[in-house]
Formats: sequence, C-alpha cells, structure tokens
Amino acid sequence: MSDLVIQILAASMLLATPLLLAAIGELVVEKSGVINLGVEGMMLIGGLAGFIGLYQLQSSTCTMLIGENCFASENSVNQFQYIGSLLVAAIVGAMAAALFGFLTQYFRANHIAAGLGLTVLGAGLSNSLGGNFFGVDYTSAIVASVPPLFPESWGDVPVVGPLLFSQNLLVPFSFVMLAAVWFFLNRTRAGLVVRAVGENHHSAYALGYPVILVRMLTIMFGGAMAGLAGAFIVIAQIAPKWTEGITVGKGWLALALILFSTWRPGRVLLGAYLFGIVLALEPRLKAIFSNMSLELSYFLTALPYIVPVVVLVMISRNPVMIRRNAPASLGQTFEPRS
Amino acid sequence: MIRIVPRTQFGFWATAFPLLLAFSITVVVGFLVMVAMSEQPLSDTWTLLTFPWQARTASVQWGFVLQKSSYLAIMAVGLSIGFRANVWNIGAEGQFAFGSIAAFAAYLLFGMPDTTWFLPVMLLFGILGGIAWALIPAALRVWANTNELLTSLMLVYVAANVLNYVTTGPWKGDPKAGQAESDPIHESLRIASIIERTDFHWGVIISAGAILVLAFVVLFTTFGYSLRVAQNTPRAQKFAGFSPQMTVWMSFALSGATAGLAGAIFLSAETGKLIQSENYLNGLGFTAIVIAFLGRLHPIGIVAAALLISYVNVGATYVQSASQVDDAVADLVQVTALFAVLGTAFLSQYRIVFGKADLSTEGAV
Amino acid sequence: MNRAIKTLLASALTFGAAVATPAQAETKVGFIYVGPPGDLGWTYRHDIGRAAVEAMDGFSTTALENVPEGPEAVEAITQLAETGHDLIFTTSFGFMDATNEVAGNYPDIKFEHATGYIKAHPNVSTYSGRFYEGRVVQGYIAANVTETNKIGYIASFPIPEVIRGINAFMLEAKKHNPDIEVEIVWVFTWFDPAKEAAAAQALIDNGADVIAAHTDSPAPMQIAEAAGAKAFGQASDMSRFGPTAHLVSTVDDWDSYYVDRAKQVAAGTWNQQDSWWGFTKDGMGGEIGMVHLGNYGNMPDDVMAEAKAIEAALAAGDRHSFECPIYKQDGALAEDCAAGEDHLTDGTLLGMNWYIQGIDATIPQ
Repeated sequence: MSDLVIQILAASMLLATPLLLAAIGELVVEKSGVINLGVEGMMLIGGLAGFIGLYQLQSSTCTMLIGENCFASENSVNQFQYIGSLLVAAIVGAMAAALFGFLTQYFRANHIAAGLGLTVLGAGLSNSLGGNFFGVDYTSAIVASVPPLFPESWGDVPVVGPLLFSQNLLVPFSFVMLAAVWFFLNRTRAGLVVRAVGENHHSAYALGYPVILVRMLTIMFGGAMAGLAGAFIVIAQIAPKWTEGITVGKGWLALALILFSTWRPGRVLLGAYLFGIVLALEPRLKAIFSNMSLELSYFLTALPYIVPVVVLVMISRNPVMIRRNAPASLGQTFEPRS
Repeated sequence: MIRIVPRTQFGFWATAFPLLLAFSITVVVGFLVMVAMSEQPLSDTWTLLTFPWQARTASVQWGFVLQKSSYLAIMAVGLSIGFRANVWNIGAEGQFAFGSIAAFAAYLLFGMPDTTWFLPVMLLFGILGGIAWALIPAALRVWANTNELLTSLMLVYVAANVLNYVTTGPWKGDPKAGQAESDPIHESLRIASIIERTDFHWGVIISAGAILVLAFVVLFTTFGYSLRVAQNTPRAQKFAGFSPQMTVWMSFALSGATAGLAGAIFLSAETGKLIQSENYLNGLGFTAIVIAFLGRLHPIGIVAAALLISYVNVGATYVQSASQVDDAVADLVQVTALFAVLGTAFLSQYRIVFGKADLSTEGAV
Repeated sequence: MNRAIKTLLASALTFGAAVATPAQAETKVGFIYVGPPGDLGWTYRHDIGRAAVEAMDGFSTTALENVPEGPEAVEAITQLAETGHDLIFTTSFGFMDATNEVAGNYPDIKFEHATGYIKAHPNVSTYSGRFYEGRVVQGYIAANVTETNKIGYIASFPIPEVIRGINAFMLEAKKHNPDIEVEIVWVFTWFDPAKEAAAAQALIDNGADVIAAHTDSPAPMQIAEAAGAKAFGQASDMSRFGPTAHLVSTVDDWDSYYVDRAKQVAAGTWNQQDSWWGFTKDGMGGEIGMVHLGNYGNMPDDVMAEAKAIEAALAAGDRHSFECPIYKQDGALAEDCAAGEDHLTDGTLLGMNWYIQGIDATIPQ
C-alpha cells in the first residue's frame, strides 16, 4: 500500500512541477497587479528554446535526426548542459514576457488582450520555428534523456529514493523558488514594494515607487518561470522531444492554480500537488474501476477548473479575506496621474 | 527628449493617427514575416493580398471571409459592451459551446421536428443557453464578489467537458464514427447558403442583423451610454440610472447571448451535429476577444477588424495551398496587428511631444 | 520550409521534364494533415506516403499541416481544390463531413478520405488500413513475453477502430496465455504526451509489464523504456524511443496506395473505391498493403520466429484475425459465428462496439 502512495506521489511530482513553476512566476506577476494570460504561449516558446539549447549544447556528443541511434549510455546529457538549456528557456521566456510588459506598461495596452495575443504569438512562433530554426527541423530531433540529479543507485533507497533522489533538478528547484518567493514577498522590503504596487498603484506611485519598473521586472520573472515550466515539459517530464503544442493547456491550468491558491505561495504548492495527484490518480482509478461512469470520468477531468472557482467564491464572499489576498489593482492599466 | 503628455483636444487625428500608425506597422512587420517564411516573398505577398481574384472561384473566397468574420464580429461586439464597462467576460468560447448544446437540446426536447420553421426556436435556445452559461460568472461576481475574468475563463474548460460528455454519452450518434459526435439534425434545419457552393449563408445575415441592433443600442440609447461612461466614472453611471450590479448582469447577458447565437448558427450552418470539443471548438471565442480590442471596442471598428483578420486568415491558407508557405503567417500577422493597435491606442489619449518638459502637463513614462 | 525548397526543386525538375516531353501535364496532389509530420506517428507516415508521390515524375504535392478537424477543414480542403489540385487526400476521421461537402462542389476533382465510411459523391473514395492485423501479432508476442500476465492498454476514444484493436490483441493473447489480463485506460485524447505518459506509468505501477498504446505520441514507449517495461510502437517505427523496450511497431504504410491512386488520376482511370488493406492489398498474399510490422526485437528468438509466422499467415490469407468461434463478453456467441461464418465479417468489424470474452472491463459510453 505504501508502495502505491509513493508511486502516486512520484507521478504527481512530474505532473505538478511544471504547474508549480509557472504558477510561482504568475503569482509574483499578479501580486504586482498585472495579469498575464500569455502563460501558455511563454511556456511553448520557452520550452522550444530550452530544447534547441539542449540540442545545440550536446550536439557534439549525441544528437539525432531520423535514422540514427542516440541511446548508448556514453551519450547521456550532463547536468551542466541541462542547466545551460534551462537558462536559455528562462531567458527566452523572459524576453517573450518583456514584449507583453512593454505593451502593457509603457504603451498602456489592456492586459487581457496583450496576454491573449502573447498566447497566439507563442503558439504560432513555436510551431513555425520548431519546424525550421536555422535549417534544423526540431520536431524530428531527439536528444538523450537528462539523468536525475543524484546517482542512479540512490533511487533504490526506500521512500526518499523515488521521491527525492530520482527526480529531475527542476523538482527541488521548484521548492527552493517557492520558498524564496514566499520570503521575498513577505519578509523583504522589495517584496513589500511589489505588493504595494499591486494593491494600489497610484498610492505606490505617489510614495515614489517605480511602478512601471517593478512591474516590468515581475513580468519578466514570470516569463522566465513559464519558460522553465515549458522546458520541464519538453525535456524532463517524459524524455526530451519537441512537439508542436506539447503543453496542451497546462498554462491555463497554472492560471487556475493561482486562483485556487488565493495568491498565497504555500497554497500554490498545495494546489499544484493536489492537481498533480488528481492527474496521477485519474488513470489509476480508470484502470482499477474499469466500469467508471462517464459522468464521473468527465467530472474528474473538469475538476481542476471547477475547484478553483469554488475556492474563489468562498474567499471572495468574505471581504476581509479577499482584501487580504487578492491584489486590488489586478489587471488594471496604470496611467500615472500628474 | 521625447515625452508623452495627455491630449487636451480630441479631433479626427486623435483617432486616425494611431490607427494609421498601427496599420503601417502591421504592413511592414507582416511583410518582414513573409520575407522570413517564404521563398518568394513578393509574389506570395501579392497572392495574400489579392487571393480572391487569383482563385478558381472568387465567390467561394469571399464566402469564407464573410462567414469567418460574422462569427468573430457578432461575439466581439457582444464582448465589447462589457469590456467598455470594465466587465471582463473572457469565456465566450464556453458560452459559444453552450449555445450549440442548448440549440441541440431544444431539437431533442421538441421531438426532432423536421421543419425549417423550428430553426428560430433553436437559435432562441442557443441565445438562452449562452446567456445561462454567462450568468454563472455574473452571479458569482454580484453575489460573491468573485473576479469574473477568472471564473469565466475557467468555465470554458468546464463547458468543453460538458460537450465531450454529451457527445460520448447521452447524445452519442453513429457508433461507427471515429470521433465522439451526436446524430445530425434534420437537413431542413441546416442554415442554407445564399450563394450556391459558398459558405456565405443566412447565418451571416442573421449575425449582421444582430450586430446592427447591438450597435444601435450601444451608440444611441441611454443604456448604451450608461455602459460607456461606466468605464471611467462609475458614479456618472449611477446618475444614468444603472447600478454597477445591473451593468455586470447586462454585460454578461448580452455577451453570452451573442456567443450563444453564434454557437447555434455554427451548429446549424457548419456541422449539423455536436462533436467532441477538440473538433468543434476552434478558439473563435478567444479570437473574438482579440477582434474586440483590434476594433477598439467600437462596433464599426470591430466589423472592420473582423473582416480584415478573416481576409488575412483565409488568404494565408490560400497562399499555403498555392505555394506551401507556412500558415503561421496568419497567426503572426494577426498578433502583429493586435500588438500594433494595442501599442498605439494610447496615442488617442496622449500625444508625443518633442522638446523640453512642461511640468504642468507631463505624464511620466 | 525545407519542404518548400524541395517542392520548388522538384517542380523545377518536373518543369524540365515537361519541356522534354511537352505532352505530359503535371498532376497536383494535395494532402490535409491533422498534425505535424514531426509527430513521428500518424501524420509522419502520411507524409512519407506523400514523399513517395512527390518523387515520381509528373507529380507535385502540397500538404497543409495542423488542420483542425471539424468544419474548419472545409476551408483548407476547398483551398487545395481552388489552387488546381487534381487529387486530395484528407488523412483523419474528423475530415469526413468536410471532405464530402467540398467534393460536392468540385466534381472534377478526386477526393480520398482516410478512415471514414461516407462516400456522398462519386468523386469520393475512402481508405484505411486493417491495423488490427498488427494487433494480432502484438497479442501473440505479449502473451509470451509478459511475466506478470498483465498488459497495460492506453486507448484514445471508445470508437470501433480502437475497440477492434483491443479485441484482436486479446483474442490472440488469450489463445497462447489463458491467464493474461488487460487493464485499459481511456485517455480521451489522441495527443497529450503528459496524459499518455501518466497513463503508462500508472499501468506499469499497477503491475503491467507490456504496454500497448492506441494514441499518437511516443510518450508511452519512452515511459516503458525508463521503467524497464516492454511496449509496442504505434503508427510508425518507434524503436528509437525505446531501444530496450521496443518489441515491434505496427507501421502505417500509405506509400503504395497513394502512388497507385495518383497514377490512376493521371491516367484517367481513377474510380470510386472503399479500400481496406491489411498486411497485403488483397489479404491473400498479393501486393504490399497498408500495414506492416517494423523492427522486431527484445524478445526470445522462438517468439520472434512464431510472430513472424503469424504475420506471414495473416498476409497470405491462411488465417483471419477474428476466426470463429468468438464469444462476446457475456458469453454469447458472436452473431456472425452463429450464422455460420468462418470469421467476423467486415461489417461487424467496422461497427464493433463490444468486447470479447475475457476482457474484464466496460466500454465507456
């Protein structure tokens, strides 16, 4: 039985990590009063960039297009090459986000429209660049898998082996980032500024805080995290392979997660893993209860979108709670008054 | 030094200049996209611009443009009403789905009548279905103070699952089918083409009529006025006799109605049956949001934007068929246009001044 | 764009040929893909078939990728018709209605729809592969290599194509290993790598040591490789995603059909057909069909030899995949068998919506 629990937890980690990474980023963005609906687009374009990075960084040892074999053990990717590709993903994600930032902050464009535009852009650009980026068709390129952070034999240690030692670098990284973001938002002066900007941008501006600069930085941080989330999906979740549209809506799920968390870092973690467990349980339940009703089956699929609405309704009913959690100027365009 | 200062006078150029600028940016960037993606950018751009005259049947091409833009325009006009009043319904995709589901439910409920006279009932049910689904986020907003932007978005995915459920379960049609789909509605209930062999059908006319009605409401009635002033001054709106709650209800009802109508027309004119969501919902409800902003939330602008974007979209598929250009061209041109319009919109409120700072009117950038 | 260059080069070459033999006019063949050729699965195999047509003198091809299934396909198919294509292949079930609709508008153009069953006009043909023949061989191999006697089966949608595969697999597997069981996970998607991977992992965790998938991505193979399990490839040769996991792939093979049909259009001998080819075209050891098995490996030699013998017997028509007696889940003899047939008829197979005896599960509907 405990085996089953560990299996489910290990599977949910793989499913939760990209949601967690993207949601951590978007949490900071929304805390500063900006809503960026382009998460899906940034994930796609960051994920492709990470894959291209990985392909290029290890092409000296092993890459393959259709027809060659790339799975000999000496061909595996090392952690430095992997980290290099993650940096590429983060930077490209941040650049995509910066485009959104310029539009919404300097050109005062509507957040919703610019975010949706970013989603279309990310999908379109990654589709066409993935098919041909400087002469390489990355849809048919394969790269050897990234090994776990710790020696493989450690994976046999009971409990912590499969849960910690067998996991990809980004799994512990997501925990560290979450703690860092919690500390930043709640315990540092800079974090207070971010929250003040998100609470009331006019007051923050009047107090002399650089509203637009703060928001540009949070937006780019959000883009970098979305890029990492995309890179995790493309490179680490299964095995490295770029496929058009590979995120299949995970960016929107990350947005749902923020709602579920009511903008609290601790609950982002809780929510990401709850979503992860639901996603990991679904095929197991279907395998065991093969006569599961269609209603239940579709209800389970829709659950990650229904629960956030319910949670949001519950906290919104209480004016004190919503004020304590939700950034008051979320999604409003900032126009400095003179 | 370049500075941005608020406009004090709002003339013709305050509106026209940003649009002209956006148009120029789109043309330049769009051409650069073509250069990057095409082996013969000049001839392919020419094809993209003039495809109806190059194709085998011009009327077919115009039919596609009108058909596509009618769905986008009707939903975008509905959405723009709320957007003007700062009510954010971004779940038109889900309301569209519910419009289709409700229209099909009406068909089953009334015993699958085989007469064209039943079509208006189906459309009416489509409208009601869209409204019903839209009123969920509205109610949550009014009664529980919930952020309607986020809830309306989440409900899109719930609606998609409902569509998948009814097509796999209770309303499953031909068991031989390789996708989840319902049985088809009677041929008599399919909206017919106006011009033979084209997709220019009576649904386009119905949408155009609905757009005219809505445009009249928005531009020439007290109600429309009160929604327009709500954007900047909620208090002024109260003087006009509308509570903020009423604004939320009305915005969602109208945008849900248009999305539901579009969904019902889509069911009748395009598919004739419900199909699993992946093969039925193609993001029209999200594109409509983009169109609403491209048209600067004004009915005339929206219709123009819908026509232009549809023209480019249809043209891109044509060019792709004729010379294998990557069809991402359409997406990229659309995004360029959107970003250009969004990025220049502030120029209708502000102007760029070259020279030394005048502290009294300066807006920091 | 690589393809665009190739197309250009090819058309330049054929232009040269046309100058040499001026009587020969080029035949243009269009393809509608549901995904990108880079899926290395379903669409990839169709693109290989397209390349075989392209390689012939006097033929040029165009492919539209990522065309959404459902009504939007009408526009894509129409554009191929509008740009002078003589023969158009639409390569996914969701294009069936759209193909028939467009075919009615262009009687001079030939249309071929993969995996469908409606031919509303004389210029429409349908074609598909008897992929279940590959499942028979897979079932035999699984029965012999499994140690846990538990097979994990990842299924997309509960449609006859998928159910037929499960039945063919289990019918053969039970013959050779009566203790074998199958766990089926319906993922309700053709393509979602994360979901397919999660399903594969869940099945392996539950004790399955052989994975069969009827979805489009190589994710299940990759998971099996990482978990030390065995797996079958789907649609294309997936051995490079699982060097130590890969048993055999059922490879779709459209080359000869596409080449045949393109030549018939050029020669003016094309006629309406409903082609359903297995390992061989006629199922009697004739020409190569639409399905073959690729890259046997990771199994004992005697199992491989017997598997190949079964493949040969199916190809030669010495045996059938569904030989009577066949009992349904409730123990009743299948109607065809009761009626004295030697094996299930094509009509039964095309509408199959029941499990055979020995599968302990319910079809979700």
